[in-house]
Amino acid sequence: MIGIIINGAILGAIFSLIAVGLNLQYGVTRILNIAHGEFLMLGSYITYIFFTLYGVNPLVSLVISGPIVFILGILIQIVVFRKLVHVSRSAEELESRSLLACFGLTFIIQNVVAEIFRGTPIISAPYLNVSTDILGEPVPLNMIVVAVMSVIISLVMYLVLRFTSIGLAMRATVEEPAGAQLVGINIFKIHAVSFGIGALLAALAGSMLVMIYSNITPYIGPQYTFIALAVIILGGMGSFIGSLVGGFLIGYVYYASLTIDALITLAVVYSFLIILLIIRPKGLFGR
Amino acid sequence: MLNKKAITKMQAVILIVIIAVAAVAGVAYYFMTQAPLPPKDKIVIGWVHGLTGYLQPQVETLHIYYKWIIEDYNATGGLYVPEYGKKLPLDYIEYDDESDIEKMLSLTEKLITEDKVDLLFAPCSTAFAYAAFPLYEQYHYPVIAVSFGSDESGQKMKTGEWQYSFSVLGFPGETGQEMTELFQHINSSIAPLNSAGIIYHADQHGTEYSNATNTYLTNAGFQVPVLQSYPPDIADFTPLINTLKDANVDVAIMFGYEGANFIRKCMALDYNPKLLFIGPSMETPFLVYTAFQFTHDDVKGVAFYDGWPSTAYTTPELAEWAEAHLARYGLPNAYPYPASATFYAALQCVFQAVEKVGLNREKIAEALRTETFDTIVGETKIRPGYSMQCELAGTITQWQGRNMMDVIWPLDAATGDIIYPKPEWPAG
Repeated sequence: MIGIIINGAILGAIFSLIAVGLNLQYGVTRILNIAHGEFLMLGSYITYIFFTLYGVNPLVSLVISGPIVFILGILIQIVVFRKLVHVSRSAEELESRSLLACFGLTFIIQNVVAEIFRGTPIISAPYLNVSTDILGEPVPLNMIVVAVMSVIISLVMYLVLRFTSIGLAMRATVEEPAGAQLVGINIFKIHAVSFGIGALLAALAGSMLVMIYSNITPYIGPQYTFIALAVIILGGMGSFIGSLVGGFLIGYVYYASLTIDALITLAVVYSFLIILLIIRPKGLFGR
Repeated sequence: MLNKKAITKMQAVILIVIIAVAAVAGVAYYFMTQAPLPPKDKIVIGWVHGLTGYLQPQVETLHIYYKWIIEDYNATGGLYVPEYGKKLPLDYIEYDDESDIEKMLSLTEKLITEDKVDLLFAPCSTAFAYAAFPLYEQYHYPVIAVSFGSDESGQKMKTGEWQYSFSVLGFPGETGQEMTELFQHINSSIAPLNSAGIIYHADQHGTEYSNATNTYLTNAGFQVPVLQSYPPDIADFTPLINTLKDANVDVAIMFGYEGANFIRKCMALDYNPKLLFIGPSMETPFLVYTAFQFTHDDVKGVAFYDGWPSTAYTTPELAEWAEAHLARYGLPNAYPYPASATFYAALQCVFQAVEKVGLNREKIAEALRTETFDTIVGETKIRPGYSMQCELAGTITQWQGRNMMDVIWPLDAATGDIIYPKPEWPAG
């Protein structure tokens, strides 16, 4: 039981961080970025490059991978999605078009990375892979560090949204886009920054996951996108707190079912999700 | 002495004329009934595999020999085709199935019906090859699948239901038998070994190999208290490791592709069974030492269950091949894995069959079933429904602190002593 509590919390913290970025992007821009996992994968590869070539500590590389992917996210939002916002006649049209664009982005990013790393099909940057003890339960130190960092990053993100002017502008854009424009908020800038921050958060998660997992490939993204989608649907689309709570809930359900029978894990997670959606169709914190 | 009355001169002349006319008519008939050979300036080989998608890593490590052998033959002028009496250069058509089995099937059919390739190489992985075999049977294309192992299909090859489909690696039943014999030897000659725990990736490969191994081990009297599958993309091996730990098994066996994650977690949780069998993926030096960034000490004692045939690259010829492999791949630690040489040898068998019987695919299939070939692993025989039989190969390998794995079983093919129990994980 202690194992489930500790390990479930660790997985939950990681799942939350992955979901927070996606939820922010969707909440502000109404773009469901199903290429989210690809930005995570980019973070892993950037960390791998600096770890392998220059011996940079994966935790230090967060300050490299984050800004790089943040800028990339902003550029993609400006080049691809801003145009779609302009030409779409309704929110539904924007959502369907942007979904297609995200599909395209997924394949483009995957194939570019695969091409660059042709010959090196799998990467890893193992770090802090030693055991430590929590309440008598042996736990890998790197998982604890990643979980703690995930919580810290999520909290920082919460503080940014809650107490800074850019955070206020983002929340205003989520609540009332037209009203936000009327009070002088440049929502195009907010869209770009939000998309960039979402990409940044994914990249930070990816940078840390490559410390733990030795199976990172250019095609690893979708599995994390699915996790993030499950989390934000459970927590409520567009809800920051929902992402945090949803991440931990899925983490616990995932780990508990893994302990009972590994093969039924995904079935249990999605059954849990369906049941909760029947009870609360908009998710735990959705409005 | 000839009786002069037996035949007159006239009769002899008539007889000779009749024989001569019959011979000329026979030769004329033979040539008239033989279709003229179509002009041919090259041999085209086709294959479909995942250049993108989740199978790309396996394709990049397991299927590099497709192009290498073509380059090697072309460097010597091509492949000799007896009906043309000369060597023809080799060309190829390679399609990307994006790791999608349906796409692989439609592109394979395209290679056969539209591109009309002369020969086919197999797609990557057990599931994909298994799906493609019926097409080879339908269109009579002899194909040797290299990255493949399935008892179910092996049975079809043995019974002749499949006549054009061949395999290289150890089938699950063979692997289970080999591992059981190794465990019996360890138990009787080295140190006690009584139990094993098996975890496996829930796919055809994992299911077949784990079931066969479990059957052989339990029939031989070994305890197998853990037989547990896990899903693809598993996020954490901790519960499975705890299960193995609680069962206190002597040997932990993993049939799956997530070996690096599993070992890292074993190291972090300080779980060190007396023997660890892991694969596929943990047998490839490039992946182990470069991609996964393990050290020699990290993996020392970890074994791989290839079944037949695994090569240790200890003969001068194979050692030279291994060094050339490293140079040709061009990346650090890209030495061959245990089955590399036999994969290459399997392709040599196909080409040598062509050199013997020409491009007639019925004859090629027959040659593959019956002939013995001289390849880089010595005398080699393709045995329908069984693994490839090679002169210079063993069955089970183990990391022993070198750049490539050592063969440890059977003993007469061993290049290193069995390490049992495996050493502790290196500190921190």
